[in-house]
Amino acid sequence: MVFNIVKKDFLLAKKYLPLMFIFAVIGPIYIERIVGFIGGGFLSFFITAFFIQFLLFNSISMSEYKYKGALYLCATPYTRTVIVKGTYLFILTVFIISSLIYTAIASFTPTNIPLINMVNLPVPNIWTVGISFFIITTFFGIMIPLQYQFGYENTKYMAMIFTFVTPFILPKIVEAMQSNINLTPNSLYWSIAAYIFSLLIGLISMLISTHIYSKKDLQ
Amino acid sequence: MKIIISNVSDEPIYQQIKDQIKDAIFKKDLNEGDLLPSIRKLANDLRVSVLTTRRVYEELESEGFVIRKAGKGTFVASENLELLRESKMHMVEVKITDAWETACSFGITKEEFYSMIDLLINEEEEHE
Amino acid sequence: MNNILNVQGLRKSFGNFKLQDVSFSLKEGCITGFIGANGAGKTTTIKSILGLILKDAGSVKLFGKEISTNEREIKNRIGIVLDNGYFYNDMTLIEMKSIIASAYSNWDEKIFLKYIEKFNLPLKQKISNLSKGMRMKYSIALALSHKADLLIMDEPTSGLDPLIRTEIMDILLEFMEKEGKSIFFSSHITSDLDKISDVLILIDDGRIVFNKEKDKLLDTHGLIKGDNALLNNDTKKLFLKLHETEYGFEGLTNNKEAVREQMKDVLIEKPTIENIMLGYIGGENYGF
Repeated sequence: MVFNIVKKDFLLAKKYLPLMFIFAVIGPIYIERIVGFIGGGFLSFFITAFFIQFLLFNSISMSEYKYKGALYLCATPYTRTVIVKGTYLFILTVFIISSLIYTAIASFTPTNIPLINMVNLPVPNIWTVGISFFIITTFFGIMIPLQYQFGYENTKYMAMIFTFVTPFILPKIVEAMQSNINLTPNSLYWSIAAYIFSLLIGLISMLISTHIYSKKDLQ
Repeated sequence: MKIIISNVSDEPIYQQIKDQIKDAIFKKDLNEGDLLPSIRKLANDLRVSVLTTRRVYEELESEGFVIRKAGKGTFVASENLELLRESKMHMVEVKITDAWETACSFGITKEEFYSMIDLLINEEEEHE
Repeated sequence: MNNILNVQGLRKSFGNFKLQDVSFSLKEGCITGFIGANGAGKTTTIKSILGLILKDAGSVKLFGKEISTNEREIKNRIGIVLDNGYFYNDMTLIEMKSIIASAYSNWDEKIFLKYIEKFNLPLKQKISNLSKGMRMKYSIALALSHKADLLIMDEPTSGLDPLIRTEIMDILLEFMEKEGKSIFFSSHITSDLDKISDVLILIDDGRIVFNKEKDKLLDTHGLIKGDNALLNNDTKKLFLKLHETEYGFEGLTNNKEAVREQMKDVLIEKPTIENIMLGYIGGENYGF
């Protein structure tokens, strides 16, 4: 049943998918050119994945706010819990897909094409993905329950700022701070810890959202 | 079978339907063993409540005019014509009593009442 | 006859509006019309029954069970048609259908396609391209394609022309021909209910005013017209609403028989559901 809700979210976001796909391919390359020095391709991976997830999440939230389709869905055998789970699963799925695209690009980018030659897009390692997953999960872990509580109308401004700021400004900020960045060593234990904490945060957030949503009057 | 419900009649809707079904049975528009429409179909066609048609069939059954067989429907009872005839007589008695009571309430005398009946019957016979 | 829905002591407050001790039952095999003015509480009641709005107090039992403990089982047996549709209008009919169909364990694709053909709906088009009437028919097609036993509809015909409304009424009557089906249908267009309802429930200002068989209402209520001279202190009491002009009076009574006895030479006509409804709501200054 949850998968159908995820399908619903993909259908809602349908018109943005082609654009996101293009960004998933081009974005990392652009960002890597600016901040590739950090190494491990961390920023290009993180920013790309986060931007795509965020934009799609925002677009489905907007559609939901506009059409209130969840009201109809809640009158069907889809329970409110399943609908909340679906949102989380959707975001997770988008993360996985953008990770796969990034990995594919990084693996197959030929180095003898002049333009791309300047960039060496590294295949993401377990640490890069782990820390990105952790940061993103924390962000959505806070954002989603807030949105369930206060509604899309009130949280969307935060959304808009993030959407436009992140992919452009963040790399520049990091560039300016280059001397001060020194990421934690790539230890396997830290990587695994990152995943475990992420999952924990995700689950707790889901429980909170489910609780909030179950108490809402749908109008 | 003809069933027409009047908007201006004194009688409750279920009574009108019941009487007209009985009429149909008496006039042989409906014969013994005929299947009557389901309560829902009758209600839909006459635009009345299904609770009304249900009551009609229940009362017709208790009066011996129809039989309801579970899962099959409601059928005109194959029965004792004598019983039917007595019930016909009863219906007419009820109507005469009603007319007489109305006449009394207006102060019409017994003689005047008899003359009225004679007059009416003669007129009816002339029309036929 | 079973009670397919039991509402007991339902209460809900929103700002200025309150549902107060709403209690009623729906009989199986009947079409129950839920009437009232806009804002009287019809939609709030329906949403409370479906669990879309959380009630402050009271109990709701469908098919004898509480919705909180048997949610999926109950919702599988209910077909929903809501005023707004609440569809994702950017999706096509077939996309929306695929999401809804997966919710129900008894979804029957053949029946759905039969309705689509009957209503002539363009499956591959976006829902936003449909007219209101077509959207309503689509909603009905979805509601009738999973072997539902109870159809709950909130203002399904508002904004639709009489031709489409008649079509929809006919479809509902056809649905009722099978055993064990029931419909609960709120509307402020009472002419539709004149035709097909079995029972009527009137709600006004958050309270239930009456819950009666339609034919019994028609048998006891009458539209009375006559000479003003016939009105006196006793006869005036027989009327729920009275409208006097220099030419005569027109009144709505809930005691047709008493009027027949006490007032000779009046015209007694069958009232419409609207006449009856207006007889109970709106206060002194409103007509019927």
